[in-house]
Amino acid sequence: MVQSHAPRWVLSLSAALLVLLALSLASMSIGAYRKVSLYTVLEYVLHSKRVPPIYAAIIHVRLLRTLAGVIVGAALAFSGASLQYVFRNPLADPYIFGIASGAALGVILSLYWGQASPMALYTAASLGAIAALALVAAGGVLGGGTAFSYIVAGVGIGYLLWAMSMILVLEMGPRAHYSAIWLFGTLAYIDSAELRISLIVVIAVLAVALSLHRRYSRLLLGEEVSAIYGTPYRRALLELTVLSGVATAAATAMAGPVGFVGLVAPWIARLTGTTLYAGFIASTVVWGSSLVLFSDVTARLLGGPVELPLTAIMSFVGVPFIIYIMVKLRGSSAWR
Amino acid sequence: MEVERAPPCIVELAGVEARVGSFHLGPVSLALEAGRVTVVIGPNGGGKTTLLRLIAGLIPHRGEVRYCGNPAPATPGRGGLVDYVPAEPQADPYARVEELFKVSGASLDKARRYFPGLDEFLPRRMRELSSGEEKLVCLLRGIASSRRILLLDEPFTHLDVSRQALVLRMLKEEASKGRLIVVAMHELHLLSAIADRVVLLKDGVKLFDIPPSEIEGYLEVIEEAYDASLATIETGAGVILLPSPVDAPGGES
Repeated sequence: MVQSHAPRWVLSLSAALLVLLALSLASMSIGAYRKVSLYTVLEYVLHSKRVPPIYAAIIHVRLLRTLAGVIVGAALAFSGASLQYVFRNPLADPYIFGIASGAALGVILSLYWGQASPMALYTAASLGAIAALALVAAGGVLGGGTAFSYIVAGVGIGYLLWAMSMILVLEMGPRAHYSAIWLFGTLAYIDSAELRISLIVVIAVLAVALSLHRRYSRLLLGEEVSAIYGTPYRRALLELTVLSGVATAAATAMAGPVGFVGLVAPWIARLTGTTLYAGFIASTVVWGSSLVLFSDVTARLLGGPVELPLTAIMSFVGVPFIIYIMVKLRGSSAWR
Repeated sequence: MEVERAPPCIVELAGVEARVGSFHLGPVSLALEAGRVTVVIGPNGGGKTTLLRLIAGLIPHRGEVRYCGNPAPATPGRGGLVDYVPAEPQADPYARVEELFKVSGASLDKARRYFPGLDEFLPRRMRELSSGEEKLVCLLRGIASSRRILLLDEPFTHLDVSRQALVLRMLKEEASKGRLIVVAMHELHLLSAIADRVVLLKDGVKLFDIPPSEIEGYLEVIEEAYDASLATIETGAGVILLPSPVDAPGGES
């Protein structure tokens, strides 16, 4: 084995962790109500009793919010990375593929029928995500199974499901305002019961996927050679899409559909690190968390009467990135 | 795993048949010997790739495939016996060469012995390689695997002359160490340099299975199968077949 250079994924992951640490501290210190100095935040982390109660309360709320951002980012990044891995599609992403919209519709339907317990919401989100995946997969196959056909199916079905959510939300009356903002993704209404479920689901999904990392890494060899080395493509496809759907549902049930994280994070990891599954996922997940914290901190910094939703901010990162990827892959076989 | 000490074995195909879309292969019966390079020739769409994929366990089929007298597992790769290098590289365009070696467990040292320039390729991504380099990397990966049966589809396409010569040398050496090698190809002029056995497939049917020394006697069968006339060059190492412009499709005579 050639080991003349440090493993790239270690460098990529280290850089991602540093960025995440900085953003976490920023996320704890910045907010609409009162700015808390970084020193106080560090003091809270080290000796929470020394910090005046008012600051401790603010930091506690922000700690939950920061943790929620980390979980949402990790889940969406994992989902996008796994979809890109198995579909070999450079634009695969739970938002573009309509999976986040499916999960959101599940949540809205559950609320519409008066089922608001966290378990009901998470189950509905998972069912919605998997139903959307099935629809997009069917549409993509009908369209010839090309990268392009999956994207068209995903964008189309995603819009349709999102529109259905919007119609239901407007039917709901007094709660419409909250739900309409939620439909653009936000960390402003996190509760700790939801946070706990999301945390458990995301850790479980990552544990399952990473424990099978050798199987998934073989997908790099291509459909036939990977089958010969013990990774049947269809089975890997089924496993990874279901895991992606569950992870997307866990993120969406808590924070609403958040766009572009699952697209951008895997690309940062791919361009800076390894394509072997374990290292790729580890690095992608940390970059995803950083992207969501960045958007959330930006939302709080911009202030205003209503906090900006996450997807609005991620669009300013994600859309230029899509154009960059398109130009980069121009004429490449990745589009076929 | 040391393939050198493996006892010589035979892969037997007993009346195998497969259907892929509207194409039907077989029934084909064939005995493939370890330590030999069997070359499958035949016109486009004749069933060469389907036969390789069948041997590799990649497609469902009827009839039996036996290895060393025992039924071979019906799974892709035949339970770790078979490696396969498809005609067109299928690897992820963003994967690095070293990563492809790593996930398949192929020996870098073995690949380096055949191709000392390999190290320069290892950190590069597949999409950064030319089509010839990409092909060479895929071939080296298959050659450097520890699996006893090696199936190569069109191993000479995209390669320049020096790399074609390298592939010839690698296949000869690997066969001499006891590996069982099956190659599907169109380069009839390389038959005498590489083949220990030549199989002609047309429309999914085996037309012959002969040693290359007998190929001159089957010239007409080959010409009819390809619907083309061939020129021949006699050499000390055997006869070389070349396409002839006379009687080419669309010609007047």
